[in-house]
Amino acid sequence: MGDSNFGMKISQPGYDIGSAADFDLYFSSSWPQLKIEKTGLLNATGDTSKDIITHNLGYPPLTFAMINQAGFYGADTRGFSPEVATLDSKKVVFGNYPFTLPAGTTVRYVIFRLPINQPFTAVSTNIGTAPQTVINHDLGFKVAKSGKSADSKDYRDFTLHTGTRSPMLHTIVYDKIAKITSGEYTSSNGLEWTIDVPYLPIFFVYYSSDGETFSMLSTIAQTTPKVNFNTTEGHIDRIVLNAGPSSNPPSGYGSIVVLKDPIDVPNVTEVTI
Amino acid sequence: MSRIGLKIALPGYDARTAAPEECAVDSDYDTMKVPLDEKNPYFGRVKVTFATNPDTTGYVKNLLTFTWKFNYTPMYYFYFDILNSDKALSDMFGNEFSNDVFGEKMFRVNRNGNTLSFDFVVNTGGGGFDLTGKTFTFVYVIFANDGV
Repeated sequence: MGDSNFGMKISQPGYDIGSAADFDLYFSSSWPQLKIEKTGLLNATGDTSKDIITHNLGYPPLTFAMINQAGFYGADTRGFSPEVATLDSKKVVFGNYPFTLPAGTTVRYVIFRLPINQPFTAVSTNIGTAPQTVINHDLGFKVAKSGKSADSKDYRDFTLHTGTRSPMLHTIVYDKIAKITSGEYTSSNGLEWTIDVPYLPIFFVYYSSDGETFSMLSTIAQTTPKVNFNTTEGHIDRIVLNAGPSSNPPSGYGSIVVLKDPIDVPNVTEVTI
Repeated sequence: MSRIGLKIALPGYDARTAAPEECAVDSDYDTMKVPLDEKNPYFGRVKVTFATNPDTTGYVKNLLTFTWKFNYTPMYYFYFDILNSDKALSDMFGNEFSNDVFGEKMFRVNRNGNTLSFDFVVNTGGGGFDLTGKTFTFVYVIFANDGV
């Protein structure tokens, strides 16, 4: 790759470009932002031969999904549900593993120009510790989408806007999983990322049994597939693909997509419910 | 169509010919965006304590409320923090928590006017776990991008 001393970076408004932490940069030419190839709404039919979004990117892309079932348990129920999709080099299929999506479910999908099966390591210039939320909104720059006003207050009208943080790629670890253990949060399985930032970043984990068709693993779901990532020791402790550990396959391929963006903050909000 | 925008290639690539995957920035493509607002933080950590056992169907409790000035529901993501939750809860994690609508207990988001609420919801009670006094922690990020 190129010379890491050559490039361009822009810090968030109010942060000195000479000392700004990586996550205080709006962008750096050393690492990519997440570029959206395709996004939209899919009204699920319940038929997996129809509930398909074709992308033809030639690689399995980073993909998000959020679903809504209107009137579900008395209210519209929306959840970020990555586990409802599988993806390969041509398409994203909704509802084929491990669930079917009931007809009438609405799915928001976001497909990125980012292959999850190609390892990537960003050049780190200044690893910071304290996530920033405070910026000077009187400074900055923005690029409006075609036909949208640069004076708009709606962030969706911009491709670039320094009043926001646009997540930036830190690392993609793509590896064969030698063995998926059934133990509880105690042992690694061959898919490793040694945490090299002093904060909890946004991350996503994908699994494939054949290296071709991937499922995104939930980090919070009761329902599988899901992943437990040990942020203290820096490895995945457990991947559950089906009903329980006993049904885990012996091997496969995994991808950990880590962004530079912190989501953890020193102050904790406490609630009692 | 005119070609106006900003394109910055990754090191080693020519911006004139680089594919989007080979660019750090390409304003032809939209990006995910996390609003930066110190008064209304769009990412953070929340510790939740159960005052009573959430084991009744229809149990709905608010976890987070945001002032949301737009007329759409945004994309969001939660991470359950097993290491900073009660061990008993960690043991039950597989059974007790979900952000998925097919689960027994779940997180969900709803927008009512300018209020964006994240709730903990019990779909069907049962399971035999008494979570009274138990705590769990999660971290969240809310994007400016359209959800559903």
